[in-house]
Amino acid sequence: MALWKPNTAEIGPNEHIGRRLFDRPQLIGALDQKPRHRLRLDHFLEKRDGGETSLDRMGESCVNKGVRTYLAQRAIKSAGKFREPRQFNGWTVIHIRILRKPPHGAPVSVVPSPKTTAELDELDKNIYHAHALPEGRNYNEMAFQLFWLFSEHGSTEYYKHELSWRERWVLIRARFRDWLRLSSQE
Amino acid sequence: MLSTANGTVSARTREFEYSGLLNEGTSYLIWGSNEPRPPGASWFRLVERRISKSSTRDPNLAGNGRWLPQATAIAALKFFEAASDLLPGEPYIYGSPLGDLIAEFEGEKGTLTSVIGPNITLLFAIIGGIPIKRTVSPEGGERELRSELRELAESLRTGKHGALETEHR
Repeated sequence: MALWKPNTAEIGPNEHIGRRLFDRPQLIGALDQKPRHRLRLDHFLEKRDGGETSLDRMGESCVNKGVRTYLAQRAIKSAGKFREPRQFNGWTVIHIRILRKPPHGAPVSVVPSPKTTAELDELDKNIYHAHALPEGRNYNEMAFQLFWLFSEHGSTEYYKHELSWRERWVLIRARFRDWLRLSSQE
Repeated sequence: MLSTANGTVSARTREFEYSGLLNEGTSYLIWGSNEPRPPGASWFRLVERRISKSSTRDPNLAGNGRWLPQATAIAALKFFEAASDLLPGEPYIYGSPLGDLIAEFEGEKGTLTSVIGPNITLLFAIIGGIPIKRTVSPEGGERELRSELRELAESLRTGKHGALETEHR
């Protein structure tokens, strides 16, 4: 499948839009909870950009394999940039039509937002990047609207990615520090 | 035990002495009401312990998803103490990037996600595929919280939400 060249002026009527899924931390006191392998509200929470939510344009009418590979490389690099490294697990994907005409509630506007600045590293550039606009919703309301739509009408595009030895070491060190803090609190 | 510069919260003795929130020596005075309430849910103590253990005073750790700011932990303990008997079952809890506590519940006919912070509690339900949002502030008191949760819990059980207006922007 040829690599799709997206229209940077607007989102097409049949595009598939993805939200990256990184593994989420568990509360230090709640490690006895069984992990849930499904969407959580915090998959859609973003502190930055005043509630704008980062999305990936996955393909013109379906998920494009070439685009998937292009985006996965960038997602894996992003996963290493968190304060603690996270595993990248793929995307939750939805048809743009659902966002534009949801079965209930106001539509979610999505605009192209390619990252193409010359100063960026190659893997920080992303011609498929898009933003969902909050349009009056606050941080939590925006996340809930997306959480609901992706949960009810989306699908999951899994990606197998394993942390590097260095990232694993960073995680082990962080867990050990958490354990020390917890022990000192008790 | 949670402790702050202004006071202490003892989950075991269930007495709050938290300056600015509650009067000293008040016996577990929650959401501005000291009316008797039904006994808490069977899972309450377990969730209480999880929240208490996750609480930190270190501002550098708050919001990393592994620790809860102390003010959030106190708000969450109050929430569960006030209404655990109404909630559909044991919640799955985690921290938000802004330091709130998120608790997910599963009902027979839908899900409830509550975002609990020191100043406000948001209730997001999906019942029969329809999203419903409610906002509860501490000023509304325990009665308002219980009233909102009672309605949502009934809808989660029956799948009917005729009395609940969906709220959208």
